[in-house]
Amino acid sequence: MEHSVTYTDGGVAILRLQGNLNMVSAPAVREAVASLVAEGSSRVVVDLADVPFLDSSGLGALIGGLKSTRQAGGDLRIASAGSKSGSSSSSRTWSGS
Amino acid sequence: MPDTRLRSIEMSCPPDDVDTVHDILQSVWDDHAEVSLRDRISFETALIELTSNVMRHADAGAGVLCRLDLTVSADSLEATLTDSGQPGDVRLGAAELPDELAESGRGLPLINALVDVVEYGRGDDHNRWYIARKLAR
Repeated sequence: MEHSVTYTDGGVAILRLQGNLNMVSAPAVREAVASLVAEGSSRVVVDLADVPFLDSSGLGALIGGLKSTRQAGGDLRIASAGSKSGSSSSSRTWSGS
Repeated sequence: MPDTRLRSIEMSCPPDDVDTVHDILQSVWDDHAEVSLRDRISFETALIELTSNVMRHADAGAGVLCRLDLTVSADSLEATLTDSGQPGDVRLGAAELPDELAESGRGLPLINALVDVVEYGRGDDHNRWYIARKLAR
């Protein structure tokens, strides 16, 4: 899985993932969020627009990221969930300051 | 509607992993456009959860050999996964979702929710899993 990071003017890190989020790629996602938190970016959006598949291993990695950002005083949100997988989950976008 | 088709693959894990299963399923979906997106996603999620579970828990350190047989018929999607690993620690009926902030433990509940049949058996030093999802008609 490939990923990239950009930052909003407000300092929110946007982590864009590309590929299936499963037991193969989940460790890299955990590491990516941990690196952001270690660098002081505890407000993170994970963009799933280019993630066609997400399983419980991937969900576990997102929940792990959620907990690590919150422990650092921030939060983790997901964006564009289901945009490629065709699932019924609604898209969510970051609305924080 | 195409006739019933069987597709099989043998995997050695590592280096094969769940992405190998995604790849073979993609080729199956390419050949079976009649299977709805809901059925594809449900069956693929259940099979990836099952394969992940086997690869994670059946490997005693020396890797695990798996054989996957996929059957697509007019009525159902079926998969049989046989592996050479440790006996499965199986509690299919009692699998319930964990706490919402748990980072693991959702695999078996998801499988149960997404397919109509889940069976496990052990014989000849192999685990044998079978899942089936009835197709919407």
